[in-house]
Amino acid sequence: MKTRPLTIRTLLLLVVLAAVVPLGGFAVAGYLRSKVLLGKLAAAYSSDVAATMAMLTDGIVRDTQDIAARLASDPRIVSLDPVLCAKTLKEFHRLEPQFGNLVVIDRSGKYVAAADVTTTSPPIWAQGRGFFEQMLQTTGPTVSRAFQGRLTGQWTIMLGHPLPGTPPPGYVGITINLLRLPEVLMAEVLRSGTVVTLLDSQGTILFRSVDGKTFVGRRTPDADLIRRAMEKQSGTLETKGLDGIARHFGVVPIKRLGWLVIVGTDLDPVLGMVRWELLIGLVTALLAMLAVGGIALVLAQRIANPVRALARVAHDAIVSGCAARATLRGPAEVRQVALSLNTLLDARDRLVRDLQESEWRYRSLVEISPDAIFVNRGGKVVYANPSLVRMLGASSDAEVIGKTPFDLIHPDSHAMVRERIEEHLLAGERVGMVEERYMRLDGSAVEVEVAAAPFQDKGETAIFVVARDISARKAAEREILEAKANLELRVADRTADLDAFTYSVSHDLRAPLRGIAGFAGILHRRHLHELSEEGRHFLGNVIEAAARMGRLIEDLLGYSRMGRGSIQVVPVPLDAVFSPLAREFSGRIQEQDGSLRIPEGLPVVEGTQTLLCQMFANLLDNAIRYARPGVPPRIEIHCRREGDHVILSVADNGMGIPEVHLGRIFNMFQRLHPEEKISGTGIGLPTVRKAAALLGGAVWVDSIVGEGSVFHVRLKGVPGS
Amino acid sequence: MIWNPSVVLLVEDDRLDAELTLNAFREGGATCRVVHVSTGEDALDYIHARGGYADRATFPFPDLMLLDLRLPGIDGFDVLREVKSSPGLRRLPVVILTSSKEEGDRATGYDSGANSYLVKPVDYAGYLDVVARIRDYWFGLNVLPPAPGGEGQ
Repeated sequence: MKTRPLTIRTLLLLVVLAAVVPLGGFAVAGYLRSKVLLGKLAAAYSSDVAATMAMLTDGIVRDTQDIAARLASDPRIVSLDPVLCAKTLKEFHRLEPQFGNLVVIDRSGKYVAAADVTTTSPPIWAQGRGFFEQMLQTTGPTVSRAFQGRLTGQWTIMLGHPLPGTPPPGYVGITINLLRLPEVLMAEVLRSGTVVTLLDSQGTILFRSVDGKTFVGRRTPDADLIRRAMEKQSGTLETKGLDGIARHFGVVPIKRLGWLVIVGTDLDPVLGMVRWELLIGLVTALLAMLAVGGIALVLAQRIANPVRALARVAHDAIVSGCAARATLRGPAEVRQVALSLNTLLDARDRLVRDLQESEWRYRSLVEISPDAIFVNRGGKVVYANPSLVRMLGASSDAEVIGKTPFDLIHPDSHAMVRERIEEHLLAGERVGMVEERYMRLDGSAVEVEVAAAPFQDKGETAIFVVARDISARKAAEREILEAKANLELRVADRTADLDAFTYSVSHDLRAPLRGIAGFAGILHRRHLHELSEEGRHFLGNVIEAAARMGRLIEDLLGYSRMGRGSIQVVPVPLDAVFSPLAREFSGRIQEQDGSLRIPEGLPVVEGTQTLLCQMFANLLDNAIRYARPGVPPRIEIHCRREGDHVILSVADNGMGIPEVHLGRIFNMFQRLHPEEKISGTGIGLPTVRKAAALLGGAVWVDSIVGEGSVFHVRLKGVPGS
Repeated sequence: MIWNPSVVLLVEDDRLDAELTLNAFREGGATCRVVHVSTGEDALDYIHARGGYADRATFPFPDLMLLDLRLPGIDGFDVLREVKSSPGLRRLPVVILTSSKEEGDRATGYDSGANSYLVKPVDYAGYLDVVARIRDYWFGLNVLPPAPGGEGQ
């Protein structure tokens, strides 16, 4: 259950109440305690007084009965002489005037004598008849019930004593006017508010210390006090008295007579004082409460007001963003809070400003970015920068915002994008540059390179997407590829052209060469004798030149013919290449006392018989041709495997090649020696290189001048050979 | 018995090559008579005894044709095919004598029915050698076919 929080004022007032109310409570409690205590005291006092009264009453009765007994034994009374009796009684009455009347009665109930004749009525009292009978039957003293005298109308009791003799000849009776009992009993002054009531065994009121006339002789069995007292016979009572005033009563019985003494003490006067004290106490408490409450209120205000002011400043500062700051007032703690609040607000303002600046920075960045940037939140585009608008061919971002990203992406890329979103982006991963196709508003496709990163936007996962238009790049790539293909085609064409050109030129050169060489030969054969020495020499030169040209043309033809048409590579056993070569060159080698060593078990390589023969023929030819003068050529073939490749090496002990020329020797027409010294066309090694390239291999050379050269050829091996 | 020298029809457009070949034959003796034509048309005319070669007495049907491939106009292959596709002519042994060693030419030549394929030598000594061998083989070892009926002789 939510309860509204209490204000400072309420709290303080509650505190005040909490402090003051107990005071009042104490006062009331004190009062009640006093009341109880006083009640007890009163009851105790009543009991005491009742006991005393009982004792006194009993004493009085006893005394009276003794007097009656003495009189009854007085000879003058015993004589029953009326004159004597009267004289005696009167004498006695003079001595003891407190009694109502003293009488002597004879057995029949007739008066013999009386002290006060006026108050006696003729011999039989109506009321006394029963009593008289009773008296007659006992031998001891008797006490009558209360009765109203016939003549006087006053309530009386009579104490009688029989004269001696069995049966008694007569009785002495002493009457006590009940209303005059107070004079007898009031030996002490009762405290005001105390009432003494005397009941006889029937419950008739014999005596009441206050307002006796009203009550004496009456029986009020219904009165709560009488009933309870009669019931209780002894102890304390708290009830209303016969006059309706509440009192604390003490009840003491006079057992001998069967009478009851009831004494009641009225607390009111006393309580009145206590109540007065209580009132003062309560009033004091109230005043205290008011006073303290007033102070508390003031205090509350002094705290509450500054606090409320703080709250207002905070609220204003945050909700309306106003620049107000709290004034430092109120108690020290509140000032502390105000200071902290001000510091916090300052910091917050700085933060907000920094944030705004940062946002502006980044927003500018995004806005001016030449790359298209958009934000996908909840499956919709919620932001699109101008570059994206441009890229899609829209006129404003309104045409883009609200669409789903899939509206902007070409269907070709939908599946990929969906997968990226679901598997990576929504899992919090950034996705790097990926090529996609987007779709402009008019349906045309645009190729883009896209990167995306997820981020949290108000509790929802949103995605930043940067897309770079790469259609130009793609077009350029395609152009480059095309151009490259074109170029390769053209290069191939050119090469083919060149080869064709070389071929046809070489071919066409052959014919005139035939003419030159042929007729020079005829001349040499048939007409040599007609020439002078010089003529013969010149003719020799012509023939030699023609022969050289012939060789050049053949080599060129061979070079240009290589690779015309596609090469169909097949597995070629190198043994099948080197055996015929060995035979072919054996003549020349033997001529020079040289040797050619070819290892056994050469592997199978990819190539064509023609190209491989050409290649190694040229290398062997070189090895022989470039032998050191005077040193028989020793040629060795080596073979080793390197992964998928086979490396064949032709090693000679010839004159070697200077390092500086190692790169040049594979160039066309490049020779290191003049024709006269060592003949050659300069086409041999280029041919080897071209052949190696056509077979997907390579050729290179290691050489040391004066020691020899090793030409290495790398070829593709055929596995399993 | 009138021994007729073997007639060789030399179809060669290059004057120098032709002269070298003729010289080489001449040096070998008179056992061959070489008739030289420089164009494909002349070659076909000669074989068909047409035009200026109608006279078979003067221009007898050859025993052997030495055929260069590169001829202006109708080239060697056309002549070859014409010869080898005509029932009356196809028996004529045609030996291609060309400077080309090309695989393509060789293939076409043999496919078209050439009886042999020779590569022209580079010098006179070579010519002497080749001519001697031609004579030795085609007129010595080889047995020539019987004369064709119908057209020709």
